[in-house]
Order: sequence, then C-alpha cells, then structure tokens
Amino acid sequence: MAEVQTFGHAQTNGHVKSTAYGENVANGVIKATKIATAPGAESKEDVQLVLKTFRLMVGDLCQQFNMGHPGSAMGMAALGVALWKYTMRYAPHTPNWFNRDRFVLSNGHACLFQYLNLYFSGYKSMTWEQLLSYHSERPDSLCPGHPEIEHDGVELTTGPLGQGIANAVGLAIATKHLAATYNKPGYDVVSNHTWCIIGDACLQEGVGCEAISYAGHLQLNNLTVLYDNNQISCDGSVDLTNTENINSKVRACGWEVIDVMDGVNDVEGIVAAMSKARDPNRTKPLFVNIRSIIGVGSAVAGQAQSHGAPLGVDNVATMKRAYGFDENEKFVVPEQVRKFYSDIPARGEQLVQEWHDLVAKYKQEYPELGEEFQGRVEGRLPSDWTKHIPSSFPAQDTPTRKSNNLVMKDILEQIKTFMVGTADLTPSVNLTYKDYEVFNPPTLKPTSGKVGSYAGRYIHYGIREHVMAAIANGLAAFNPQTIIPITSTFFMFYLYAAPAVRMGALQHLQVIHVATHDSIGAGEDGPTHQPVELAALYRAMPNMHYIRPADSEEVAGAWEAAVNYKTGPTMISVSRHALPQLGITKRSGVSKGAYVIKEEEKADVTLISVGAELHFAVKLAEDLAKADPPVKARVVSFPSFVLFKEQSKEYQRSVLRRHEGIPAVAIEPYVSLGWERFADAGLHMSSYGHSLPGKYIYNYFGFSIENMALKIRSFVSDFKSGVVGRGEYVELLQKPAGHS
Amino acid sequence: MAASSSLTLSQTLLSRAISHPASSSDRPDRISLPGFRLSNLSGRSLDSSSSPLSARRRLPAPARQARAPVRAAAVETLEKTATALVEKSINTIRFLAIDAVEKANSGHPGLPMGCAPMGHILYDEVMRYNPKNPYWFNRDRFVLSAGHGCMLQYALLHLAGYDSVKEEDLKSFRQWGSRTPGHPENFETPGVEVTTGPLGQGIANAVGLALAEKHLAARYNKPDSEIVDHYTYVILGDGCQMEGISNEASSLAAHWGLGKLIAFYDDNHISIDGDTEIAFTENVDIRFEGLGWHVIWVKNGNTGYDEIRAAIEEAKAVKDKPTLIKVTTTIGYGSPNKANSYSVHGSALGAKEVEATRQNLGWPFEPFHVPDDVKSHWSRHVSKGAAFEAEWNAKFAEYEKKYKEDAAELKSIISGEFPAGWEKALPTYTPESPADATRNLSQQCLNALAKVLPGLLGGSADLASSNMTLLKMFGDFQKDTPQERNVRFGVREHGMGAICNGIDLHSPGLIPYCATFFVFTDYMRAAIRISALCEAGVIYVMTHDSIGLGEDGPTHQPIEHLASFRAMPNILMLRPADGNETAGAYKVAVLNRKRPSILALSRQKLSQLPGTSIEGVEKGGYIVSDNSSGNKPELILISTGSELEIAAKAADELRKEGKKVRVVSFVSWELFDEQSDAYKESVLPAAVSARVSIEAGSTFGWEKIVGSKGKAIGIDRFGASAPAGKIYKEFGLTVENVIATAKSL
Repeated sequence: MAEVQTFGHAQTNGHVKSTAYGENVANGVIKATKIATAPGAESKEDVQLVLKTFRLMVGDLCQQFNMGHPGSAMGMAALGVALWKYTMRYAPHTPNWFNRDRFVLSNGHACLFQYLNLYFSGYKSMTWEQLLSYHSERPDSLCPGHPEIEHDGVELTTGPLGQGIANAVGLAIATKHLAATYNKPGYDVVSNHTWCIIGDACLQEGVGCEAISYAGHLQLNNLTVLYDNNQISCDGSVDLTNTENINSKVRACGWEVIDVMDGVNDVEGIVAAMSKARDPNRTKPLFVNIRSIIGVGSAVAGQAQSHGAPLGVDNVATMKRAYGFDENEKFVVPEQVRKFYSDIPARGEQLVQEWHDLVAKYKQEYPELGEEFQGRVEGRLPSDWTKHIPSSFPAQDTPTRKSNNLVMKDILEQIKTFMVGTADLTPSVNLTYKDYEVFNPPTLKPTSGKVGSYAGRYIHYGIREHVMAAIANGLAAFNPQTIIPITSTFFMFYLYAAPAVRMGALQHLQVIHVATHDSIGAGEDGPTHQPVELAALYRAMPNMHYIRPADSEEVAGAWEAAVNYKTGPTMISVSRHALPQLGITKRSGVSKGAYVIKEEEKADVTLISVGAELHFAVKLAEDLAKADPPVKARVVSFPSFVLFKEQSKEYQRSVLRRHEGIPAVAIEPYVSLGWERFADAGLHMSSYGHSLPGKYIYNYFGFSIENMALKIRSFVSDFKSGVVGRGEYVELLQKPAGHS
Repeated sequence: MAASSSLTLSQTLLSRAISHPASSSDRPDRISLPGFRLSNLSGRSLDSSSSPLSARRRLPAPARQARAPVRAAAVETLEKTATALVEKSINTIRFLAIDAVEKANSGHPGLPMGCAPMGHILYDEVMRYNPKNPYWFNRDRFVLSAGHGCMLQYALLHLAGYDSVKEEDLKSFRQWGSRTPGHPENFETPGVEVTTGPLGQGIANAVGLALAEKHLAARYNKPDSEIVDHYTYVILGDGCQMEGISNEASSLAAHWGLGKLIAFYDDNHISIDGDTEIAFTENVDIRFEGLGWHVIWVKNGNTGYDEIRAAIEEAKAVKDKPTLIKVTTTIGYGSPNKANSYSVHGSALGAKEVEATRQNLGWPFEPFHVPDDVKSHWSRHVSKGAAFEAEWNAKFAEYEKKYKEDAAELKSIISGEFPAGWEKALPTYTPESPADATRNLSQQCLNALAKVLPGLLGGSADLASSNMTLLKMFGDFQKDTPQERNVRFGVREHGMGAICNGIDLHSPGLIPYCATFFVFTDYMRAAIRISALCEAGVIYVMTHDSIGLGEDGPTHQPIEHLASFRAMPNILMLRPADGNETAGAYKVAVLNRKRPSILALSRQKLSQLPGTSIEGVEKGGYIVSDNSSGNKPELILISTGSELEIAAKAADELRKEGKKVRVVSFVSWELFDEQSDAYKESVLPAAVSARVSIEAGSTFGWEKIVGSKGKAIGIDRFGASAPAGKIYKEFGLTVENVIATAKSL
C-alpha cells in the first residue's frame, strides 16, 4: 500500500462504508488528512533501520545505569512504529488535545518503549537529555520506572499489572458516552480511539479478565487491545503457569480476535490488523494477538533473562555489529530515522486545527449543546451546582446510604458530568435518580432492568469491584473533570478494589467511591461483610479523602467536599442502617474534618465519634451529665482524619482541647489504629465482627450506652487520678469472651 | 452408595440430554429450560431444541399442575419410589432454607431453592464424609462459593447428621448464639470447609483443596494403596464468575490438571441488579473450555436429577481436567411469584409468598419440618460415614505397616504435629555474617525448613527469582509432577492467596507460603483477610517492602501497607531487620497455624546487626542495644526492618555524645501486644517519653508506640522513582534526621 488517505473510510467485506468523518471530508468541512497508513515500498528499508535503532537505544539505555526492562520494549519495536507512525491520531505538540487517540501501556514495566516513541514522535518535553535520564538520579526525570500520568503523552500511570487494560476500558467508555451525548450528524466532535498494549501478565490478573469480560459485554468497538504475545514473564516461559487458549477465552468474552504471526518485523501486517480497529461496522472490541520475541536481536532473545535485567555490554555490542552499527558508539540515532518521524508534529497540529474548526462549526449549528460541550471539555461544573442540594432534610431516622440519594439525586439527574456505577448493588447503594439511563449497548434487552444506551450515565459493572474502580480511573483520566465517576459497593468490597483505588490516589484522579454498609451495623451478613480494619487502610493512604458522615446534613457536607476535591479520590463511607438526624451537625464542619457539635466550657472529657456511631456520643454526653457524680462531656464529630490534619494547629486545638488537659475518648467500632493521634482512649473493635442482627450486634461487642458510659466514667476517673496519662492510648473494650 | 445403582443406565439413556457447549451452536443463554415444561418431559427425552427461544425468561415458576410427573424416563422405570423420596428430600432442603430465612427475616433463599437438587445429590448420593467426624482426613470436600446461599449447606449438614447444625440452629439462622451465621464460616460450623461470602473466594479455595489432594496423593499413594483419594466439589454462581479471582483460580486449576475438582456453576441469570444480561453476557462455557476445563451443561437443573447424576459421573471419568458442570437453574425455584427475579435473591419471601410456595410445591408441613421418611432416608449417613472412616483407618494401618516413613510424614501432615526440634533447622547469624537482603535470608530459611517440615509448599506470583522463594531441593508442582513443592502461581496474586487458604485448610500440617512484592498485597487483600478470619496460617512472603526498592517507583513502593495489616485482626505483620530476625519471623509463622503471617522483606542488602535474635522476634518488640541502666534510658529509638540499622547507627552517634540510648526492634506489634505488662514496661518504660520511631512507611498508628511526646519518622506520601539511597535521603530516613529529631524532643 502506498500513502493513501483512508481515514474516513474503512474497508469491510469489500464495500466501503462512509463515516461522519468521511462525509465531512467529502463535504470539505475537514481537509483530507495525509497520514500514511502503512509503510510505503520506499520506506521499508527505513522501517528496518528504525527498528534496529529502537532496539539498540533500549539496549544502551538499560546498560547506562545497569538497570531496566529491555526485553519487551525491544520485542515491541514494530508495534511502536505501527502505532505512532501509521495508526494513532494524536498531536505531540498539543499532547492534551481533547480528541486525541488514547494509548495505554498496560505492561508498564516496558515503559522505555513508550518513552522512546514519545521522543521519536516529537513530544517537546521528552528531550534527548530527558530520554537519557531513565533510571538516573534525576529527580525531575520524565522517564520513571513505570509510566506516570503527570507526563505528556502518558494517559495513565501503569505498572501494577492488569490496571492499564481496565483504565483503557474506562477511556473507551468515556469516548463512547461523550460521542453518544454530543456528536451530531456530520459532527463527530468526539471520535477518538483507545489503544492498549498488554502483556501475558495482564491476561492472568483477575482485573484484566474482568476488564475483558466487561468490555466485550459493552461492545466497545472503539477499543483495541494489542497483545504483545512473547510467552515470557519474570519466572520464565508463560506455559510454566498458563496454558489457556487466550484467543478462545477472549472471543468467549465477546471480542473480535485477529492474529498477527510476525510481530517483530512485519509492520505492514500489524498496521493492516490495526486498520480494522476503525471499521465503523464492527460491533465488538478488537483484540490483536501479536506474536513477538522478547529481547529480539539479542543473545537472550526469547528468554526470561531479557525481561527485567540489562542485556550486558557484550551482548549489546554484538547486536550493534550484527545490525551494522558501530559497537563503540552509544545512543546512535541515524539521520534517516529522525527524518522518518519528522512529519508527525505538523500532521498532529493539522488534526488539532481541523478538530477546532469542526467544533467551531458545531457550536454555530448547535449553540446550546456546543456551549455545554465546551464546558465539558474545560471540565467545568455549573457554578451553582450546590443549589441542588437540599438545605434541610427529613427529621426521621435515615440510613446515610439513603441520605446520599437525598443529597445527590437532583444533581445526578441534571448534571451530566457525573457517571454513577455500582458493582451489582443498585438496590443497596441508593444512587439511582429520576429516569436514569443505563450505559449499555442498546442491543441488549434484559428481561428485568432497563434497556440502555451509550448516552446512559448509570453503569452496571456487574460483580467486578476491582475493574469498576480501575475503569473509574480511566473515566477520570480521559480529560480533567469532563467526567466525574462515582463507584459504589459495600465498604468491605473496596478491599477487592484496593489496587485500583490506590492507583487513583497516586494519580490524583477525582473519583468518588461510595462505600455502604460501613460497620458492624451491617448485621446478619456477618464478619465477611463487616469492615473493622478497612478504614485504617484508606485513612493511611496518601491523597485519599476518606469521609464518614453521621447523618444527612453531614452527607451533604461530604459530597460538597468530594466534588470540590479535584486532585484525588474521595471515599464516602455510609451506613446500611437508619440513623437519627442529630440537628446539631453542620455540613460546613465536614470539610474541616472534625468540629465541635456540643461544647462544654469546663469539660471532663471530649467524646469523639464519627459516622454511624456519632449519635452514641451525643446520647452518652447527655447520660454522663446526669450520672452521679456527673461527668461533663463535650462532643466532637470527626468525619475525616485527613481533612482535619489539613487545618491549622489553632483550629485543631480548638476542636480537641487536649492541650487544656481534657482527655479525649474516641468511639468507633473499628480497630483503634490511627486514633492515638487524636484521643487518649477509645471504644473500639479488636476482632472481626459476628453474624447478628443489627440491633444486637452493637451490644454484643460492648457498644451499649450503659456499658460505654461505665467505661468512660472509669477512664475519666483514672485519668484524673493519674493512673493513665496522655499518650497511653487506653482500649476501653475487650472483645467478647470466646470470640476470636 | 445407595442411589448410584441406576447411574450407569441413566447415564446412557440421558446422554442426549446433556449438551457440550463445543457442539452447540446455540447461545446458551437463549436456550429454554425444559424444567418449565414438565408435563412434556415424562417418558420422553430431555431434548429441548423444540422449546421457544428465551422461554425461560418469560415463564413464571412452575405451575402446580406440572408437579406430578416430574421424573425422567430412565429413573421412572427403575426407582419410582426412590425418586419421589428424592423429590421430597429436595423440597425439605428448599423449605428449611425458606423457613429459616423467613424466621430470621434476613438471608438469601433464592440460591438454596434453585440448587437444592444438586445439593441433595451431592450430599446424599455422591460425597463421602463422616458427619460425626467432620475432620476425617480423606473426606470429600465441599465449598459453597456462592456463600450467601449458606442455608443450602446448613440444611444439608443438618440432614446428613452433623452435630454442628441442629434444628435449633436452623431456627436461629443469623441470630445470637447459633452455628448458622449469614455466610458459611469454617471456624463456627464444623462441616464447613472454608469461609465464603466475598464472591469468587470459594472457587479459589476449592482449587487449593484440590491441589492439596493431588499433591498429597502423588506423594503418598502407592500402587497398592490409594491412601489419599477424595474429590473437591464447589458450587459457584454468576457473581463468582464475574469476579476476576475466579478466572485466575480456574485458569490454574486447568493448568494443573486438577481432575478431581468438580465445579457446579449455578447458572440462574439473576444477580442483585436483576437479569445478568445487564452486565454479564460472555459465553462462560467457551471461556472455561478456553481455560482448559471439561465443560458439561445440565440444562434442567431444577428437576433433571439424572442429568445432574450423569454429569457427575462424566466429570469423574475425566481425570486430567477439572470439570465445570453448568447447571441452569431457576433462582427461587418453586416460588410462584418471585422465582427468576432478584427479589428472591437476598430477602425473605414474605409470609404470603411462603404460603404460595408451599401450595405450589405441595408442601403441607409446618415450618422446619423434616418428614419422617426423609429423615430416615438420610439417617444412614451416620453409619455410612463411620464405615468410610473405619475402612480408611484400616487401610492406613496397612499402609503404615508397609510404608513406615511415608506414613509418619503423612501423619504429621494430617495431625499438624511437626517433627520434634524442627526449629533447630533455622539458620542463625552473627554480626560478622555477610550483609544480605532479607529476601535472600528468607530463602535460606525456607530451604532449611522444607527439609524438616513435610507440609511446607508454596511459591510466587511470577516473581520467584525476585522474591527468592524457590525450594532448591524440589521441582515445580505441575500437572505431571504434582509431588513437587514449588508452586508457580503466575501473575495472579489474588487467586494465589485464596488457593493458599484452601491448601492450609485441607490439613493442619500443610503450611502454604506465597509471595509477591509487598505492594501487591493490594491485589490479594481480600484473600489475606479471609486467611485471618478463617484461621488459615498462610505465610505471606512479601519482598521489596519499601521505597528501598528504588527505581520501580511509586506504583511499586508500599506506604500504607504496614499500617493496614497492623490494623487487621488475627494476622501477624512481621518486618525482620536481618538474618536472625528473619529466622525468628519464620519460627513464629510456622508456629502460628491458626493465624496468618505477613513477612515484609527487603530488596536491598542489610547488615547483620548485633543484638538481634529469634527469641526477640517471638516477643514482637525487644531491646537490641542499650547503654542505660535501671530501665531509665534518656531516649528510645524504635524501628523495624531495614531501618533498624539506621536507628542503631544514630544511637551509636548519640551515645558518643554521652546520651543513654536504647534501641528497640519492633518487628511485630501484635506479638508485643500479647506480652505481659511487666515485659512491655521493661522494653518501653512508661516514664520515658522521649521516643523516636523510624520506618519506611506511613506513620499512621505510630503514636501508639512513641506517645504524644515522641516523634515518628516515616513517609506519609507516595514514593518516587529513583535509586534507593537517593529516596531515603530525600524522605529524611537518615541517621542525621534521627539524631536531629531526637534532639528536638
């Protein structure tokens, strides 16, 4: 194939089908883009030189600091040429162009592959010096050991295996959804494709399998996964541990599968396979199984040794000789190779310009929608979004999971930025809204539940918590605040999602996780479903805002804080069971992490509590005041550790008043770890929960008002008499006898 | 077994009724369910091809008039009365579940109602067990991976005669003091093998149980004595199928050729959000064939008893692959208005619907009633079970005579009694021993222990060469070499943890270990928590335990992990500092058979420190050096793992300035907590508030140790990609900073 323009058309079964983009080309709205879609005859030699140069650069870069993952990067050289030179629509000089094709390297350890491609295709920030900083001490290196989202040309941080492919599903959902919402005939303002390279490991990880199953279910025809099938992982050949028929498994999940038999040198073959990706008639995601050889060209080709360790000076030198390079020279990029890539930045700028022109015309044609679309591109929420939050709430006892709905139902209904999803717990998590539309292929017709569309904003993730959180990361990473994803499941099952939640925190992605059934109050489902230690994980996780509101008023505050926190995830932790509306809580207090809800000038003790148990503290304060002798207790609501720690020292002191010598007792049926920072004693769990109805379980573990009052009184008296002192965190409850 | 006499014949007769997905071009979720057209069934083949597509979705629960002629042809001629009794028994199971959930007004009746037929056939006709000794070694194992359907298992255990589930337990389902919690828990209810509920765990546990059987059989069976010989059965639902962990475990089960693993997939197409069509449209059969399983489809799981029986026979005949029997059932079968809908999944039917279901299934009895004929039919399992065990005991006695050494080893695995003096095999070190990474020292311990502990086996999630977990004297546990003890889990951390839970719970003397980078405990948290909850003493060998791993960057650098496991009940979080402490950590881990241990180990080389010891580790926290007297140091430096060396050096410097400094190694908080008050006071005297801790992880929780006047040096942000030395410096994990911090107190 020579250099022909085929972007607007895709060949399917011998007939040509026009796309909106193609029509635009024909109508002159968009100028024909000249992007080669396969190496021309004249450039085949160039391609071979590029491949050799690429592999030697990998060898040299790993040798430089005697560290790195050379094998996959070398094996995938041809894949890189096929993607960055011949297939992807992107603009190195406008790396954040809204409608760019997204690329995710799910096998993130092969990051050198991406860095080299970013360098060759002309990303400005990826300078020669930066490229050579791989594994150096340079603190501002753009070439860390795994790709990181902060850097131009990297869509998401990857490394933990299986995450990238799940993120890519999120990116593809974002495109599908925005296209369904905003595109108009002749105006494909959102039309990008998502490409993801995976290795053998991503197919073994459960999250990868969940992603494949769910993408197939969603029929995401704008997603292409390129499987770097080199049959080698850290421990050796993959058949040591995996003898699946991958193609059959992926097909069973609803994908179209294409094989490429020579992924090492056959750039043309890879490009041809990839060209099927844009076929508008395709109704399935595309899986290209590309046979490659890890460490190709080196003496350890096809062996695990080339996976995670440099090849060795001699080995690289031998390669150079074989490739006709000077073995004494390092980091050689011949002029032909630079020339080969030289057209990419300009071509990218042209794509950007054409898109801007298209959007401008779109805005003229559809002013209102155009304005809305512009807002989405800029990641703006309506400035008055909080007006949809009720100023007051019904006074009757309400589970905070239902308070979520009271707070958010109008916002979710009216502001399209939010996409809500659940891992098969719709009736439990209470996050539906009026006339909610399900994000699903319209061809699926379930007997119960709604027929969906791609414009839908309610996502049924199935019982796949891990991929839910990873997909949410992809949705959030598509473009800042264009979509604010919300996930939901029982708090306990954020344990399944933990790696993806952490990746969201690491990447500063705004994702809101709604964790329901957040305490032993969940009741009969028993200890497998009752969190006791989980809050400690999310409280200790950097960048994560874990918030545990106590009633509807605080739930309102939690959502305000979550929506306003744009540089990281928030987890809103809510109860299954009904809670009293305290009347003294304040939504504005939530954003400060902790605040006083009942002050007492000459207090004997500060009772700190949080979430579903805050009402215990309020009741205890009342009862203690009436006790003989009376104990004067002030009460602090403490929905979020991290938000409190961000407050000034003065504010913190005014809330805790420990510096005045008033001891603090924390009440929370989780393990105590972490409370030592804020309190002197606590009533906590020290074991797993138990299968008991909610009304009994608190008592079983000692959280009856009578027992707690007794323990607090005795602690206050011990504190006064000096039997215990500050800094000696006293556990006031023992686990029930016989309970392990 | 009593009801098996007709199986061969019925199998032949019914072979047409069982489809194999490979030969079926129809989309399985579109095939109708013959069970709904019961009147057509009698005396005919079970061919369903003439049924209208999608019929099962539209049809309500079986109409009452369809009840009578349920039996398939084959059995009708052979065992008329028996089948009536079978049906009665199945309905007993259904109503025990219905009544228990109704009384508790909480629970999941749908699955037991749909799965009662396979449950009955398994426990009454197929499985070998001894109800009066639930721990008989050679029993068949059963795992309810869809744990929310636990009333199925409780009903079966009750009928089979287990003492753990009495009638009053059924009546107090999910209540105070009962042995029938809301999800099956092995530590509450003898007869329950593993703890399930979090979806996908059970199938992975079952893979572990089946692995253990295959491994032990390969090691101990002799041509004239199959002393280890049992099956592992599991029921899993759509939820388990969707969870990634099940794919991980199922892939391995096929790779290992676990032919005695038989999984029933309760294909009822309903989850909490409704029709699984809304989120789960993959072809499960073909996926499982792709994974390498033998797949059988029982189209009529509601009443096709002979189909189920035949499928089990076929599954047993396939010895080189695990078998998935996809059993298409109706959730809440028998409930006229709620069957086949999510409303029957997770809540009580309600009095009215219970009554309607009684009418529909022709069940005149009061709640919790077990009809006498059903009772008497099941009563034989007590004597049968005793006979199974007696027979096996006799066999073992023979075995013991002929194969004395093997028998002794196997006995140790069965009983969990380790050879005397095993701990002497652990290596010890002196400060002169070469500096080494604790991951390498861990390998020395593992290899030393493998020689003396016959039940030690395990491996890594594709990082054996980084985690240093290979047992050099053994080969790989593989399909054709199941006697070996290095397990290759692949990049499947979650499945790995859950499989190890299964191995552990198979026999008290099996000690599974598994390994990956510490940060990837994230992937397996759900399985680790189950280890802790269900008292499985799995050893988690977690290397690359801090920013000290360097260049791999923040995705690979654990920060909050130590804190999160210190918060987890019933688990030991151990972070040894050198060779002696690593050996101590292994001693503790091996001794704690009912409590899992996590060993956090370094990638980087660490010095062998003076003052460290195995005995010290056993106390959790202990003094490694001190120049004060009378338990009155001026300063206490507290550290763990790779930073203990930094603390020790800082102490040396401070002592040169005349300070009285104590250095405490705090290798395990949990163990320290268990020490006497006097011991704690001797290590961390209350009067000494000048305390500085240093650890390359979150400071979360350290106030507990350093108190409100002390200071904790740690990392409360994500890491960075750079050489280890550089990051330590940038983050203030240095001798200089410890000294400066100490002086600032």
